[in-house]
Amino acid sequence: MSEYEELANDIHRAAQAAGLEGRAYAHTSVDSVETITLSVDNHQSLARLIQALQLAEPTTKIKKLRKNI
Amino acid sequence: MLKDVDPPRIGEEWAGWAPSRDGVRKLSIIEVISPTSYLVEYSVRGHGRQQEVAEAFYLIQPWEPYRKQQQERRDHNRRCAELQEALHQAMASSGMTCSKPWVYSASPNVHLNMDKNSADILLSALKALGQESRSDSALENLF
Repeated sequence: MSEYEELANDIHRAAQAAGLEGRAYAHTSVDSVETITLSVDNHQSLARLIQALQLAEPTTKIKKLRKNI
Repeated sequence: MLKDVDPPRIGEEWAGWAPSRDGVRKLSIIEVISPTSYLVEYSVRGHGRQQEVAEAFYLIQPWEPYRKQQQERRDHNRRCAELQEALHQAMASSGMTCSKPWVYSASPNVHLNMDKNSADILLSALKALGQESRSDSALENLF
């Protein structure tokens, strides 16, 4: 299993645990770029996804600040 | 005219095309000339009321359900656009670098393509949300 496939599986499991309906999978585009796609099935899941990213905001900001130090 | 819809009757208001005008309008049925043609009346801005003979296939369905469907479609599309923007902003602020997502309005779903860096950020975010959900339910069970 490739690194991307493992990551996609992890995302899939984490998404389900967070209450999202949908799936994540790894694939290679026509120009040979490895990509991970998350597909959510409904607006409730989309709202959960937005909520997850909003929660992630402070952590990322801290990471960026740390990088700048 | 839509299938399974009763034919127009005098005095009813229908959504349909006036033969000499563009776009769907509210047409009042003035006279049933034959089962396939109707005298209809409609408003033209600045010109008052106009009358024309419209064939049955110009008429779509009674006005009120048509107007309601159109409003629901507009509301749905606006909601999709709002979600798309909210997702895009949340992605950008979390550090994800993938392209702007597209929220499909026909069926309410979204596909998010991302590189490894963005996928890592998403994974952390989902784990944090899952953790928070479990904490919330643990608290709910406690009380």
